[in-house]
Amino acid sequence: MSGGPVVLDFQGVSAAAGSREILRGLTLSLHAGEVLTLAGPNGAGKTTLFRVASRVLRPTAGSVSLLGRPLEAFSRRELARVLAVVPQDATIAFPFRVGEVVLMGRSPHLGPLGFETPADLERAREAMARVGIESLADRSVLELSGGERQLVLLARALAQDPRVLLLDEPTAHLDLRHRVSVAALVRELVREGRSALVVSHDLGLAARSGDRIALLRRGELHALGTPREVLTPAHLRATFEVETEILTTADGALHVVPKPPSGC
Amino acid sequence: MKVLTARRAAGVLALLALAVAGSVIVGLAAGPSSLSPREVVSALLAPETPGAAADIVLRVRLPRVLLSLLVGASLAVSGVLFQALLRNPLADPFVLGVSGGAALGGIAVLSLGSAVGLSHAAVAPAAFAGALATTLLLGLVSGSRASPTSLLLTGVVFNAFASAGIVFLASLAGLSEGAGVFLWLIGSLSNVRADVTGWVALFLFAGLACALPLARSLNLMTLGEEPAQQLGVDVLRVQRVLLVAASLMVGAAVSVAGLVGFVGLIIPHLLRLLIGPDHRLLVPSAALAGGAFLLLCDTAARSLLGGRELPVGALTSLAGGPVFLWLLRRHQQRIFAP
Amino acid sequence: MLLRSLAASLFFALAALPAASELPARRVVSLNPSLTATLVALGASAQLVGVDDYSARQQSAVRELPAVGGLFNPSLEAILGLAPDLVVLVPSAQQRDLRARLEALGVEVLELPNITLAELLASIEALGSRVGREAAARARVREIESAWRAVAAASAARPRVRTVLVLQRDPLYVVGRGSFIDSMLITAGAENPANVFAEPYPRTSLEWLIAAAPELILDASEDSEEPRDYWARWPSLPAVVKGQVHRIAASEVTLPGPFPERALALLAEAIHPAPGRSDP
Repeated sequence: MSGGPVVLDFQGVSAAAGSREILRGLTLSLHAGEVLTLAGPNGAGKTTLFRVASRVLRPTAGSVSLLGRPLEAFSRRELARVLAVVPQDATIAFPFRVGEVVLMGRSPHLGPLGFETPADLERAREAMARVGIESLADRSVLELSGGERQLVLLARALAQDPRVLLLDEPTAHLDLRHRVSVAALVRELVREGRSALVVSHDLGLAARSGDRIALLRRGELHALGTPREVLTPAHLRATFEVETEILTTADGALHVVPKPPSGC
Repeated sequence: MKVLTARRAAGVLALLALAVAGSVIVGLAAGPSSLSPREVVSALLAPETPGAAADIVLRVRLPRVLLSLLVGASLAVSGVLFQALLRNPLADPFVLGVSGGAALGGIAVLSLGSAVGLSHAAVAPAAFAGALATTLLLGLVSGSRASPTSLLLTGVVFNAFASAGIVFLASLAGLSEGAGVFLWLIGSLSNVRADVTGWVALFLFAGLACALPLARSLNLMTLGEEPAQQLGVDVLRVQRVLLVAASLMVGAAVSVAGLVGFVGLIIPHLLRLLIGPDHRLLVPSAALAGGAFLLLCDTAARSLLGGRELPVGALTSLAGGPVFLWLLRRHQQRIFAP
Repeated sequence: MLLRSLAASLFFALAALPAASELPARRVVSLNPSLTATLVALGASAQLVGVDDYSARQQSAVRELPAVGGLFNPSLEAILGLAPDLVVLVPSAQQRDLRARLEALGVEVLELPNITLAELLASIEALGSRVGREAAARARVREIESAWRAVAAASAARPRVRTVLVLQRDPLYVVGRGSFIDSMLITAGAENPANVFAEPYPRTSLEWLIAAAPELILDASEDSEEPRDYWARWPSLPAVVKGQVHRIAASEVTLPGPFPERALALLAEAIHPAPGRSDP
């Protein structure tokens, strides 16, 4: 669980979008072999944290280190071989096939010129199989539903063969069955030695499949710990400004039930 | 799983090269003066023999065949690049205003040149200077982090400004210059000088030399700037290099041929329909297909009506439009995102 | 003779005169430089009260007159401000509107085409008649006709020279069939291969010109590159081989006016140079 070495470390990270500060002195560590869920209201800075981690956004203060090295020490391609981001959604304007898009995940591993090797093709196929979208390989991405597209993005990230996965609401458009299977897949991947930082609004799912939960609000960390430690009405009130009740079912799982505001 | 392999790419390119060769043959053989195939061949094989056939084949048709190949290739390749960089399948090479700047420069000399003693030969360099100036301005105005939207908007403004300038200049122009201005606006390959052909070739090959190694990065950039960066692409560098390369290609082509429409927008689309959107094949294919297409259109433009000559820009639209609509109907889903 | 009567009836048909007075026009506005020049040549400059910009710039006799706008966009207001009793113009797409509007406001408009030689002569006579200078007009026309006859006779005995008159190099415009320039070329002894085009000023291609193999190229374009250097790029042209490529001033040959016999003389000299003279 959280006993492994730190793979992704944020130390006092602040970041801004334009002139607006989004992250304020955030300190957070992701350990090897763990699934850490980030939760918080919209605008809390979760996606911004991902952008800092993938070096798309430079922090205004603080430092980030990956696998023990400062983030800046990695070359672009090196970073892409180690860390993969699954965005919330992506609209692709051109008629690429699903297989081609997944194969793009192999790009950081390829030489400067040239085409993909059979080994790369095999990796891409494996990634699609694990996610369960093999049958979509030759479909155009323009024809896919939102949920199918999300699975393609996940497969692409897998094809990158990363040590660290950043997943931004990976189950947002998925039906119940896929929600469960993706959560199980993430657990599997992490058991194989990877680590995952997951943004999710599904607190119940986070409680079941995540090792730790971090609550963010206005760019600051409000709570960090196991689901039992973090999912308390007090923490949730402070973070979301919502009254909740925490229920425990017979199997020991935690469920967060928002209480309707008084007067309804 | 269907993916692009080196073998498939080679096959497609060989086919297109054959199409180019065929177009060259048609271009050299066809024309308003009826030369027999034997005359054409003997003119090519023995260039030193005097006679009208040699003049026509070697000094009228051949330079035009070459120029139309180069201009068509430049327009089609820059169309592919702009569409990828702007992530917009509806972008054409003229959308960022570079061609507007070129038109302004060229038409300024066309309308006012004789008044200040500039010969017709000054039109192309002036147009190219206009294209360069616009490219620089575009870079300055959009800054280091330009989103596709801001680039497009800047282009709209540039084009509007250039159009106003062109209308103003055209109203100053006399009758004879007016015809030249009109032809420039619609696109015509009748002005062929060896020196300008060289420049077009230079920027085309320089552009291809930049674009081909970056073709895979272009594929990734269609996913979005951030996803591409997260996959290891130096997005800023790719954008800068290819925007400049594409703008210079367009600038050179437009300063020689005027605003030949349709090639830069439709050839990339047609090719995507037929061979897929992978830029590693799309970019070189566009060069070959664009060249062959413009060559055939220009050959028709100068041969269809006997001694009269049509502007090639009119034909590219007339020819390409229906073909594209037909293809579009057959493959409706594959082009535009729902 | 027959041609002239035909032309005169043509004029009457075209220049409809609604209840026009028979008195000569005293306040004339001319919207075309060739009509301006004709009026001046007929001695009617005192009756001119306004001209187009081009006339004002180019013709010293009318430099002081108010200018009412360009050839393609004359100002209705400026014209009306001069209180004209006659406006003369050459039919064109751009000025068609203007004629209707002027007539609707009660101003008499004389529309005089001048593309063919017959039209040119008719316009001289029509103008002369309308401004009270019939005698001068008839005299001018007689001089033009006798100059024409003289040149035609002189060239009749000589072999025809295949000649192309280039109006513009790029795009390539040449003199085709039907314009007065064409009739001048024919009268002066040329054979015009561009006669195959039924238009006065067709746009054609280099290839056609090379295939037409002209023995003489008269280059009236305004490009600064020397005609000899320009056309030498296609050495198969007989005109290049024989050194018969000459520049001619467009203003002297291509613009219609009251003294077309001067242009005719220029062309005749170029086509059949008098012996002993050097090339122009």
